Amino acid sequence: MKTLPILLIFLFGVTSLQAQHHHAADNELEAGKISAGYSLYHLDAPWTTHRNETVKLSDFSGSAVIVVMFYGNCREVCPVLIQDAWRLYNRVETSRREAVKVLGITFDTDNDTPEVLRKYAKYEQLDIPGWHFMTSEDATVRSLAMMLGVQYSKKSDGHFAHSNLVTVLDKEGKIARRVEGLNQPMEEAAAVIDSVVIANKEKEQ
Amino acid sequence: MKYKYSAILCFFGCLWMGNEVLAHQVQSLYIDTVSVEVKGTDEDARFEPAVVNVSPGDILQFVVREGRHTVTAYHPDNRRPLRMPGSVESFDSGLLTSGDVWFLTISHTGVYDYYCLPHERMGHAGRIIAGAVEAKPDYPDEGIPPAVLRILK
Repeated sequence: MKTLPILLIFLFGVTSLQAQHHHAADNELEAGKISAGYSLYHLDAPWTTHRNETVKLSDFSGSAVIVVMFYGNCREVCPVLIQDAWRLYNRVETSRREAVKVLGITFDTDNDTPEVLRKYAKYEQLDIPGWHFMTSEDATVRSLAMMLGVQYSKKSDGHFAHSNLVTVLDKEGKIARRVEGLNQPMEEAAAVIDSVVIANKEKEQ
Repeated sequence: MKYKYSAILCFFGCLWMGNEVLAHQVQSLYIDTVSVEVKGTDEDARFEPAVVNVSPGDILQFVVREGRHTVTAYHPDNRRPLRMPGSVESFDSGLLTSGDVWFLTISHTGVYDYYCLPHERMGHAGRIIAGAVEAKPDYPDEGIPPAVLRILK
């Protein structure tokens, strides 16, 4: 008789743990495969930045570029993902940072208007030169996500399940490095950025 | 004669080792491990206790009971105003999930403010007061969400 309550408590504990695990897993999608060697700058659609400027991805050609996809209402991993992009940017030597661009691309095209992105950049204290928070048409965002291998899907509660990926592009817009997962070491990705910046400078001289 | 010197050496050796052990034990006696629980999700996210008093040298252990959180210093390294002693290195736990325990050693006297990256806007923040702090620190409020200021004041 005494074993029944114990068994029930055990079952409840196991179910709760599983539910918690699924909750976390529901929000994370594995990064997809990519076609290496293809320039993202072939995506010729317009984007609007948090400064309300219209740009094309090819406008960033010639720079080392860090791309991170996120959404502003995220209350779980996106702030950490943005922090990861910041950590990578911060690892680049100060004198070389000027030659690095960071693109924060939202997949929440309904809510993250340029004005919302402006507030977001300000709040995150990332309204700084070189950082661009951008939005575009749904189809354009989806195309870029496919090229980056970022998977995302909107859930019924308005939040998104998505891959956690920080990508480095070379000066031609080809994927030079992908860092998947949160809190990852950034040394290797920073070294890739350094080599892109150094190669560009040498070519200029 | 040989044995005499050996005995003297042995005596001083034992004395030195004894001192080392004693010193270690005394140090251990004065180092506390202070626990802060990290609870809740979204608006309910919180550090318990939100304000802790410790002694320099103490170890804080952040025990995550639910949700996904970080323990991140108010420091320019984390794109926030400096709200901790300027001479001390910044800290950031990275993402912690339920069941994780993260340790932080506080070595210097002062007031350390920290927040949770995902839930800062909702006031998920805390303060560590290390040692005898005579006056309230004059930390900048600009760029700090009002919900956080309510917790830290």
